[in-house]
Amino acid sequence: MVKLTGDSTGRVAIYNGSTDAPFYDPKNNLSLVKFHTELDYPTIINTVNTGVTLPARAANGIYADTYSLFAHGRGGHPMILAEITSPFSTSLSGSVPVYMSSGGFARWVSIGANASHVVLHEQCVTYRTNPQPALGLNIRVYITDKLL
Amino acid sequence: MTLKLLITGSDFVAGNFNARNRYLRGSALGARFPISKGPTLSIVSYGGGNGVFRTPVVRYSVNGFVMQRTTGNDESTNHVDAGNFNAVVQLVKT
Repeated sequence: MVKLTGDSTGRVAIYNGSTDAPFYDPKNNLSLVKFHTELDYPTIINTVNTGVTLPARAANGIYADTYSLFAHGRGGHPMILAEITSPFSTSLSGSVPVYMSSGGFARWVSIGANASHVVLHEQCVTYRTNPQPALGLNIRVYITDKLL
Repeated sequence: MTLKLLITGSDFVAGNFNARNRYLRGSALGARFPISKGPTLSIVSYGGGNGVFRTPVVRYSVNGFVMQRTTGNDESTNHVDAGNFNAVVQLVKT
């Protein structure tokens, strides 16, 4: 049975179950909770389309770099999500390979933020005889209201 | 705090929650953004034995985006099976 309950403290919850345990203790009854005002729901407060061009990398090297994408304007390190929108489409979930040569030598990127900017980290390793070309990435960043 | 609850055909407001905000939410309908629940990468190896080095094979696969190593260490054209790993993801709406 689905219940909608509120009380004078301002709590409101929608939940399943035969008891009110999800109302009074939502975090220990998450499987039964459909909504609770005491849970902290991340909200997307800004979406930014941006881009970066990773430089060509010479053969037989290991590289690491960080690219500042834009100022996020938040008072701390915001929780963000991001995806690459072109030249291919994929989420920036952890470290993502954006180029991989036939031998497995790859260029990896990950999204992050510092106190002032959203940044992209790059790590790259090239085969002893094969350089890697420059690579342009279009990126969409979702900024939440949560600070880490 | 007093109880604050508004439910209409187009609005749901409860406490600080307002359905007009853009929350992250898990849903099969219209969801497009994958959040990984576990590893996004598989590393297996082939070869080895009798003085032959084992060679690692990498496969990254998230929600249909795949990059994998399919040839030998010297970039020869010998095909290597990188396996069929796919990351487990939760699709969310943004």
